[in-house]
Amino acid sequence: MRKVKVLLGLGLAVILSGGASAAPLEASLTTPLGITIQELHGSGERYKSPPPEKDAAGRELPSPFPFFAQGSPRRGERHTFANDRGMTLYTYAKDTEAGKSACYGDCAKAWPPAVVPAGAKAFGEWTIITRTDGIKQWAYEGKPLYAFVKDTVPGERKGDGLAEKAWTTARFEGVEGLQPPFGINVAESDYANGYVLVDSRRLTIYTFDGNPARNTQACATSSCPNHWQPVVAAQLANPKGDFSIIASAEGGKQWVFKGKPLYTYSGDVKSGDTTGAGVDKKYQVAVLAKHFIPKQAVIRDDPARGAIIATADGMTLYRRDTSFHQPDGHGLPGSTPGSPMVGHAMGTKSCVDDCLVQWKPFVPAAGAQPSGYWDIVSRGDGTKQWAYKGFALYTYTGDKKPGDKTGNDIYDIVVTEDHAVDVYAPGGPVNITDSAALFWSYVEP
Amino acid sequence: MPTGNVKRFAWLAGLGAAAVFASGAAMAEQSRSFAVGWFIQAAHSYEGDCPDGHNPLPEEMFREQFRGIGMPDEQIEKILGGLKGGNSDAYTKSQIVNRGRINGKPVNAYTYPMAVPDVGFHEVKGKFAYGFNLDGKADEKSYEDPETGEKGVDNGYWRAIGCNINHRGSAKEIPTEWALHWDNERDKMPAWLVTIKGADLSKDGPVTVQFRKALEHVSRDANGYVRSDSTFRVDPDPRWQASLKGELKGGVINVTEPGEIHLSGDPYGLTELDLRQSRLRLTLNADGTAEGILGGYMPWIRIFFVYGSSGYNSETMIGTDIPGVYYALRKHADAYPDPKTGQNTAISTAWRLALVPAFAIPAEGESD
Repeated sequence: MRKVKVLLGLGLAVILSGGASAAPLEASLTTPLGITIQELHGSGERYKSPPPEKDAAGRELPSPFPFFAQGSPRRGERHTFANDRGMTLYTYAKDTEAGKSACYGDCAKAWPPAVVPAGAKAFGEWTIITRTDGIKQWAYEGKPLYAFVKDTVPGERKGDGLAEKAWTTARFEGVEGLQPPFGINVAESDYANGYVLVDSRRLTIYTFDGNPARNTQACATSSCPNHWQPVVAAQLANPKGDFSIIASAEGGKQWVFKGKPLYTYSGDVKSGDTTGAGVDKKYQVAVLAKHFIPKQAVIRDDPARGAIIATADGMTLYRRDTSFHQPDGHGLPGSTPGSPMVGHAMGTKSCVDDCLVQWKPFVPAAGAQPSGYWDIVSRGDGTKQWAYKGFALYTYTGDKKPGDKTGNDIYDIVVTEDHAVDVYAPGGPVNITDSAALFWSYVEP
Repeated sequence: MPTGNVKRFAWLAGLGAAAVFASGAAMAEQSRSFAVGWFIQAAHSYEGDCPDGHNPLPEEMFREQFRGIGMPDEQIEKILGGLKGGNSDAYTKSQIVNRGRINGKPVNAYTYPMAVPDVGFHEVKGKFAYGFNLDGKADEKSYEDPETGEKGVDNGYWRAIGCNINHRGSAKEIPTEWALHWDNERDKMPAWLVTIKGADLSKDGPVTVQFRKALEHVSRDANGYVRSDSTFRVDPDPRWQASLKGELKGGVINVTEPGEIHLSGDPYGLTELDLRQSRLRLTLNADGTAEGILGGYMPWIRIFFVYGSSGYNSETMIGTDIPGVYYALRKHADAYPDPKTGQNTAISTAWRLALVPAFAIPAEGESD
């Protein structure tokens, strides 16, 4: 089990005596530079591999879904920590001494260490060890991390369980180290790009910096646009860990986390909403851990679409996917997300030559490093490109101003009369049981 | 998520409806919005419209195609012996999916349809078919609309495909092929919205007909019908918003100035309704619903993809030979020739619409 432990600022304050903690919760990143998160091969029930088909002679036919060849893993095993090339990372049972590696020589050739890029810093459970050859290696929870040379595509885990189970996949499973009281949970938020506290309705919880006794609402009716509602603790509830209880300014009891009173916002109506963010700087989304996002990109709250990923100057980013008959469709907010395995399989070859006239690769800044769901991939000409959750990212020349999304929902049907064209060449569609098509869509976190 | 969005804006819809009601006298315009509940090919089948007969079912088509690529009869029968709809054995499925041949090599029949021999669909030669006279001419390829009597009706799509058993239908009987496609798609594709605007929609007069795409899909009621009076946010993307001028007369709206309509959809159905020179005849029913015929030219490759995107399953379970569809659409395409090849890229079409009342609001929150 590998979870990102919650690292929070100790803004414990004297709430009951009227003091205030000045800083918002300090959320750690889920991954440091050079460590990515990859979806495991075959993960996602919607993408599980069909059983191999056989011809009349009993020979296995080529799978139309070669990248799903390992089948669907059990629930809770969806994501793995990976190196900067997306290769799965493992821990080694013989690494018993904290901060030291026991894998050198032939072992290190088969299991190359997860190298720390220049400028990366340790934090929380992520530490840096120095190997005997001077190489800096990432360790998580004190365990050095290694890739496996026989893994060739992101998400593979051919090394898992080898050497009598000495090698174990370093899985990413969200946050741990927090035991919220009944009625409070942890959920992943697209808008916050990380893990946040939510109430029993799965609505986002906010922390308040200030004296709750003086937290007079601008208005106390449901029509108030800035209506903050205390997260109510049951009368018989007891403090638990970092969660304490105060008398609410509106009567009853209210939960407090790390010294900060907790509220929900009336503008949030469904799970994942964070419409209260930015309304009042004293209220901050209770973020526990954040995913990496490069400085060149932002998560934009699109009024029509919800959270989508854009460049730092607001231009919508797009990915090109294979057109599947997907149960939740393609074109609506929250519809079936693209499979990272498909994105990896298509790579940067899904848009070359004439395609590049309208679609511009999203190029990393000099010295940028991959992390979290963000990979850096190489194009055929050697240039680099950001990829998110497996898909290479592009801007669209049809978009003229921040917020435009004119590249969304563009389908390219690749049925052809030209028999010299290899529709299924690398970069092309990967579904070969029906007619082939590709489509462009904006990118949801 | 879409359900949440609908709830979120339900109160806005109420405000919108109230505003229209209360200020109708003061405002110059009234509006009524609908969600598309059914969108299918407008079929009008009757005895004798296919004098050359109906097209054979795929099994017979497959046999002919395999013979066309020189396959021995013994192997053909072995392949066809494994046909069990969606549960066909792997060998049969693989052979049927890859029954195209390029330089002797098997290729996907749905991506390389012209690598499969053309079995030649029979065409609809009857006098009547739904639609409109799109090109202003009446010739041997034209039909007469069975309801309005309009002459010179252009409907190449019906001519191409209407002799397939699973496309047979009428105003009362939905053809199987489109019933399956639309019924599968409407629960997950963006709802398509139609809004009628006019000075007084209870009287005859000029109207504007808007076609717009929603940010939610339709939902169903307990009977499985598309739910009435739902609220939809309109996608602000101008690509998915069309406005056509028309005339309301006797409870029927006719578009008088044809134009383009673009509405994005989803694979298995139409990836995009991409209609040019669009005409509409829409009857406003007393119960608040509406129904009618939408016609226009459509890039035929988009229609082909409706079939191709469901590939083998569509062929063996619904019963349409997909390369045959490709050849037929290509043959009967009747507009927008490619400047290089001369091949027509669009085909005349007619679609049956069934609309339920709905509220359409801008995504940002103001009522419409």
